[in-house]
Amino acid sequence: MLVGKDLGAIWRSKGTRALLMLLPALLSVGVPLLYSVIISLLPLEGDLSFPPKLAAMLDNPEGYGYRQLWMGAFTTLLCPLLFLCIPIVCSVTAASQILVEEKKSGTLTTLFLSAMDARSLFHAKVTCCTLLSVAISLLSFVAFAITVSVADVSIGAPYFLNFEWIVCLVLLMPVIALFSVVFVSWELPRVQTSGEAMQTMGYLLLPLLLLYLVQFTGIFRITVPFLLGLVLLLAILTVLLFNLSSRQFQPEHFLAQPPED
Amino acid sequence: MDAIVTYDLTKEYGENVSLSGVNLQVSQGEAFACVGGKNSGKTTLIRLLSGLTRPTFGECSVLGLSPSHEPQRLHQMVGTVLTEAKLYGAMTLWENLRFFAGLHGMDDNGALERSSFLLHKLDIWEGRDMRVDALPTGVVRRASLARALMHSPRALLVDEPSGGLDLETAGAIREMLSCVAQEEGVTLFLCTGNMAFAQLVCANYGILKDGVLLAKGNLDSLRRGAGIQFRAQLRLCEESRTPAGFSRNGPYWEKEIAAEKAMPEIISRMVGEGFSLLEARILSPTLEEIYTAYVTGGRREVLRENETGESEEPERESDQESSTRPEEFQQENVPGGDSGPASPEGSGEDEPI
Repeated sequence: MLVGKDLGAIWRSKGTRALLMLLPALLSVGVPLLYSVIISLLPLEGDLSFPPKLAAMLDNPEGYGYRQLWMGAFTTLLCPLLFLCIPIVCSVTAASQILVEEKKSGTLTTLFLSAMDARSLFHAKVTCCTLLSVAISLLSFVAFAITVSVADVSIGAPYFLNFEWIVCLVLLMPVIALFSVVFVSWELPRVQTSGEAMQTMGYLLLPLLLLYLVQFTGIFRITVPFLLGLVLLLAILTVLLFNLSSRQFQPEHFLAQPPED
Repeated sequence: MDAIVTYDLTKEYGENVSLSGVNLQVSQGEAFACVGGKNSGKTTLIRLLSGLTRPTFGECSVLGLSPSHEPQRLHQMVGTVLTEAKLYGAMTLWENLRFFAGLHGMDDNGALERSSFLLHKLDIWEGRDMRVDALPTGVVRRASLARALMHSPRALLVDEPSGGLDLETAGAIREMLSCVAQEEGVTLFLCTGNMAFAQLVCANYGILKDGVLLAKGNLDSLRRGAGIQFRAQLRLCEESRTPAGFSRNGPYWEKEIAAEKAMPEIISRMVGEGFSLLEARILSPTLEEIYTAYVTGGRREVLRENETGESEEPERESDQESSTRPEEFQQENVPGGDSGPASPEGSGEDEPI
């Protein structure tokens, strides 16, 4: 019931609805489409050599041409970063709408006065945000897969789906979605507006950006074992933060200021 | 059985003491109002009783349940109206009530029946399909009361029920509160700065100032504790001479009297002395006058006069006696204040905690 009401609240908020639809569409369809078009326009004649360090990061680069390798590098090395931004964006947006906005508008206090205990309230809200985020991410992946598959076939690039992608989709994406929601709920007593909550997105996006961009320096390569380790680490952090946030999800923490009378 | 009990209830926000050592007992089915001005601790008291915040010291219980430890069970039996607890602005009034009824485990039919009754009773039926953020403040306040009453609570905690509202809304809220108190046996606990409203709805009162409960009891015991007397008012023919002991107040001649029973004697004396009496009436002190006497220290002045024997008014002597009688009136210790010889123990009409 509460989940249904929260989903309705997100849908009724034009700004949130637009953000949850446009940003994933941009990241999963817009950017890959643009990149594919740019690659398809790359020249085929002249002194064209694919950077050897970048080629070393690709699986089986032999036998592929200049355009195909660039497309392969894009879908293997950069697209996971774009895709993993989606659960973060969706989770933070949803959580800021149904946690922070409720706190700001005083309806969270009304919920605390209902017969539902604080822990159940917290679980319901976290579940709602996470499910929404995962659902949007999965839809985005489907849209991304269609876009990139068409591009791969038309360019003749290696098919993008590999084990790294599967780990990202099945394990890392849900964990990131949950972690992002829990992170916002942990910040809840300190943030006053949904704008402030959205700023916390930066704390979550930055490590992800660094992780994927540092890869291009050649220091390390994101492999399946690396991703599994990352999933495990994030899962542990999520459990810890979830328990901490669940304990602090008490009206006392949101009414820390004395009333006027 | 007591519905609400607080013992040495104290709440501090950092160095700011919002409520200090409040002892209260409210019987089941009673209508009790805590009255006070700004920063007197009224909202803090409601927050504590509804489990929204935990006491720094002391404890409290509502219907035998601890708000801090059993908030879920408490909220099943208690309704709370707080100005800071809002309804969903993007949902209609009807949707709001159904949603909160659902959280209380009510089925759709029960919710429909109850919300229809409450919306009609509070005269906001017309706004049921409008979004809450499009409704006027008065309707939203009434809707908040409806929300708190949806699950037919056994006790109702209300913060500022009439604060800043128009007469119509205040009247509808007053009627609703009186209705649930009388017809459903709901224990009412109001915190308000509107003394006239409190006097109309409740029978017993507590006086809060700066987080300290100065006194509690019914209107009569508080009146005696405050050292305020009844006033006899007479309207005489224009050509009448000045009656002895009376002072002029508009068209009336006025005098303080010890008790209502002194009035027949005054009337017979006036008639015996040949005054043409057109009208005679007794004015009882209002809760506002009593409250003002407490917070401005008027009561202490009366007690001081009594101690030094300067006053010969018998009511003032009885006032001093009554203020020390625990079964009639309780005077709480005021930290740093001169509270006179009043006993710190005992309570007005209630049992001592």
